[in-house]
Amino acid sequence: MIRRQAEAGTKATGRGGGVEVTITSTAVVVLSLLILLPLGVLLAASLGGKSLTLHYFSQIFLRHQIRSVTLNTILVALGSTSLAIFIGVPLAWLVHRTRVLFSSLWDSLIILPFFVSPVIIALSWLAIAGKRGLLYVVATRGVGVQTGVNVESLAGIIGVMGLYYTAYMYLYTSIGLRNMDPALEEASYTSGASTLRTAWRVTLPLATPAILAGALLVFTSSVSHFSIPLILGRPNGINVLTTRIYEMLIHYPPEFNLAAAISMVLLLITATGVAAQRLITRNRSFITIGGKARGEETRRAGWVSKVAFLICALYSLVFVIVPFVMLTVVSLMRYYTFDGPTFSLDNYAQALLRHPITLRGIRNSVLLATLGASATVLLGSIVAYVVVRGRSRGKVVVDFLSAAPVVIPATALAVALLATWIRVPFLYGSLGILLIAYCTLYIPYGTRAANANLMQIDADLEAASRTSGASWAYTFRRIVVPLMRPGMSVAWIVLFVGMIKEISASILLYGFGTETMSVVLYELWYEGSFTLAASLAIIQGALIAAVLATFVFATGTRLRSLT
Amino acid sequence: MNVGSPFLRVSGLRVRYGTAEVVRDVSFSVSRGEMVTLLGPSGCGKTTILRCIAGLVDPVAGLVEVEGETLTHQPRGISVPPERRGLAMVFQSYAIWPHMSVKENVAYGLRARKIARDVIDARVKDVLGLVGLGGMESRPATQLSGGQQQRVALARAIVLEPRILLLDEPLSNLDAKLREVMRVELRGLQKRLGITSVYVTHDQAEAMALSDRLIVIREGVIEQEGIPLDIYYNPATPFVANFVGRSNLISGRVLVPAEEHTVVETEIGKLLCRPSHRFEAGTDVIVCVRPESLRIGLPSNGSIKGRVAYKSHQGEMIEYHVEVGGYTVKARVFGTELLPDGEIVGLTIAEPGPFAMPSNRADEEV
Repeated sequence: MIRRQAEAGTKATGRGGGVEVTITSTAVVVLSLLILLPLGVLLAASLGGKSLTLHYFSQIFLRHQIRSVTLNTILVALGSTSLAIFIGVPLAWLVHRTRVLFSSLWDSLIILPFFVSPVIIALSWLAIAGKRGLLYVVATRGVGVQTGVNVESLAGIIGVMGLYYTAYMYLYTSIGLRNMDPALEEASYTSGASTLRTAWRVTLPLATPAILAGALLVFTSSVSHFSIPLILGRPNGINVLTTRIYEMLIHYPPEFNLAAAISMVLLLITATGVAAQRLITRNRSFITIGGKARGEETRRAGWVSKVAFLICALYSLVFVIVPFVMLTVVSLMRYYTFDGPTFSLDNYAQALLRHPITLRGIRNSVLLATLGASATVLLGSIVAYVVVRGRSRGKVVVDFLSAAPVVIPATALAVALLATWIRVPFLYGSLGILLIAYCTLYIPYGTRAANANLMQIDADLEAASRTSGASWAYTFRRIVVPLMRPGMSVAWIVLFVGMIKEISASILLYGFGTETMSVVLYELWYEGSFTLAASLAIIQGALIAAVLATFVFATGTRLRSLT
Repeated sequence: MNVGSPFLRVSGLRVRYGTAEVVRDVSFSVSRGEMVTLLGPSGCGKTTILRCIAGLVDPVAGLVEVEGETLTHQPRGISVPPERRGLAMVFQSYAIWPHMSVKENVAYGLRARKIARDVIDARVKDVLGLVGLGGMESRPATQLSGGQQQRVALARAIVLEPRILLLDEPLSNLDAKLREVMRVELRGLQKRLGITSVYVTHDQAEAMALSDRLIVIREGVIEQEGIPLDIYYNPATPFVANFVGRSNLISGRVLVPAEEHTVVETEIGKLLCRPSHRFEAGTDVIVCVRPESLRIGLPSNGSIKGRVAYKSHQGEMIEYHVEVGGYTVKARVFGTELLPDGEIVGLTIAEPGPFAMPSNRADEEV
C-alpha cells in the first residue's frame, strides 16, 4: 500500500526536466516575496526596528487601555464561538438527521451569511437593535418600555458575531454528519435507543472531531475578526485588538511598532489554533471518509421533524431573512429614522449614478476581485501542480509557503504590507498593494482547491499524453488545463466573492482613488450616511448574488460547494 | 521466435522509491515482433519496469536500449523524454481523456506530431476499424463502456505505429467474459501487425495465453524467464510453481539421484521426479505436483493410497482434497461422478510428472 502511494506520487508525468526546476524556483521566489518578506518586516517592526527591544510586546500587557482591549478580544472570541456552537451544531443535526420539510431550503438559508460581508450583517443588526434601531423606537415610542437590547455593546458584538459564525459551525458539523456511516446510528436504533439518546450517545461523539475543528476555526477567526466590532463597537469606544490596530494607524502619529507587536500576537494565536486543528484532523480523515449514500429513511420522522421545522423556520426568518429585509428598508429611507420614515429610491440613484466615490468603489472592487481571483487561481494551480505532481526537492518549501498565510490575520497582513512597501511610492496606496494583499490572503485557498482538483485527475492521463508523443508543455496545455478548468472555475467564483467583500486589509491599505466597495460602504456610514451605505450594501449583496446565481445555473454546481 | 540482436534491451535496471528498492538489477531483452509478458503479484515492480521503458520513471541505474539506440542510461544522465522514444503505452486505467471524443483521443498523438489533418483522419479511421470501433469517431469518451474504452486506449497506442507497444494490465478492469474475448483479439492484432510488445499482468492464465515468452518477477527480481509451457512444467522455484498455475508443493529428500528420473522420498511416498538439475543423494528438495496431472482410481499397486476429505464441483472440473498420511493432496479431475467423502482411493500421476527443485528457498512459499 505504501509502495503504491509512492508510485502514484512519483509516476506522474515523468520529467518536466528543466521546465519543472524553473517553475518550482519561480514559485519559491514569488511566494517568498509575497509572504516571507512582509512577515520578516513585521517581526522586525514589532521588535522596534533598528534597536531590538521587547518594549512593544510588554506594552500589550502593561498599558491599561490595551490590556482591556485584549480582554474584550478574548471575551468576544470565547462568547461568539460558544454561541456559534450552541446554535450551529443542533441546527446541523435538525437539518441532516430529521425528515424536516424543505431541508435543502433551510440548508441554503443557514449558510447564506457565509456569502455576505460581515459589515452588511453588522449594519442590518444596527438597524434592528441599535441605539436608533427599530426595536428601540418601537419599544420607547410605541410601548413606552426600555427593551434593554442594544447591539452597540460588547454583548451585542458577541451576539452578532456568534450568529455570523453559526453558518461556519453549521457547515463543519454537517460535513461530519454527512460522512458518518448511517449504520452506526441505525445500530443504535435497533438496539432500542431513542432519537435523542442516539443523537447524544452516538451521533454527537462521532461528530466531535468535525465540531472541534470547526470550533477552532471559528475561535481563531473571531480573535482576528475586524468588521463587526468596527461597526458595533468602535464608535462607542468598545475596541478589540484588530480595531485598536486600525485606530493606531489612522491617528497621527501612527503607533506602528505597537501595531506590529499586536499583529504578531494575533498571528501567534491563529497559528496555535490552526496547528491544533491540524492535530485533530490529521489522523481522522472525517472529511473524506465516504459513508454510503444516506437515504431519506435514515432520518427521523415524527414529532422531532415537526419541532425541527419550527426551529429552522424561526431561525431562518429571524436571523437571516429579517436582517436583510431591514437593511433593504433602510436603503429605501430618505433619512435614517424609524420615527415616521419616508421612502424613495434616491439612495440607489445616487450610489449608482451620481456619487463619484461609490462608483469608483464598485469599479475598483470588481477590477481587484477579477484580477485577484484570476491571479490566485493561476498561482494556486501552478503551486499545486508542483506539489502534487512534481519531483523536485523544492516542492516541500512551496507546499509550506503556500499554506502559511492561513495563519496570518488580514489585519496583520495589512500592517506587514504597509511596513514593507511604505517607501515604494508606486505601490503605497495603489491598487497594486491591494492586489498583493488579496492574493496573499487567498493563496492557501487557491492552492488547496487546485490540490484537491489535481488529486482527482488520474496522473496516467498525463502519462498517456507523454507516451503519445506530446511534450510536457503540450500536455499541460491540452490535458491538465482543460481537466482542471471546471474545478478551478468554482475556486475562481469563491475567490471573487471573498475579494468583493474584503475590508479588514483594504481599509488599512487603500489610498485616494483606490477605495474598494466595502471601504466606501464603511466610510459613508461612519460619516453619517447610513441610508446611502445601506443601498451600497444591498448593491454589493445583489452583485454577489448575481455572480453566484449565474454560476450555479450555468454549471449546475451546488451552492454548498462554493463555501 | 526469430533470433538476432535484441530489439529491446533492458540491463541492470534499479529503481528506488525513498528507501525501498522496488526494482533490483533487472535485465532482459525482447526480439522484434515478440510479445513478452512481465508476470508477478501486485507490488512486485513489473509496472515500474514498464514505466522505465516508457521513460515515465527514471531508474537510479540501468540501461534501456531500442534498436541499438540508448533511451535511458543511468547514472550517466542519459534519459530521453517519453514523447521522443517512439513507443506507445496502454494504461491499466485506460487513461482515456474525458474531455475529448473518441476521434480526438486517437488523433491526439498524431496532432502533437503536427501531421496533416487528412492523413490523421485516414489513419484514425483505419485504426478504429481495426479495433472494432468503426463509426464511433464522434462519441464522447465519457459515454464508452469499459470494453470500448479499452479499445480506444489500444487504438490510441497503435495509431502511432510505435516501435514497441507497452501494455500495463490492459484487461484487468474488464469482466471475466470480456477479458477472454479481448485476450484473443489482442493477441490476433499483435501477431497480424507484428508489433513488438511488452505486456504486464498478474494474471497467469492471461500471461500463458498471450505471450511468446514469460518473465516471472518477484520483489523486484526476475525469478524465471522462458516460454510459457516450460515455466509451467519446469518451475525454477516454489514461488513460480505456485504463482503460475496451481500446485501441490511437497517437501522430500533425494533417494536415487539421476539426470532425468530422480527418486524422491516424500511425505506421500516415493515419487519419480524430473529434477531441475542433478542432485546429490540426501538433498532436501521440493516436489511440485500439478493437481490436473493426478488421476483418481481404485487403490492398486503403484498408486498412492489416500482418503477423500473434501470435494467441490468447479464447473468442468472436480477438485478433490485427498488425505495421504498427514498431507492433503489437491487433485483436479474431469468428470461428473462424485466420490463420497471418506472413500479410499488410489492416486496416480500422469506425464509429464512431478518436478523436483531445490528447497533452499522453501520459506518463500506463497
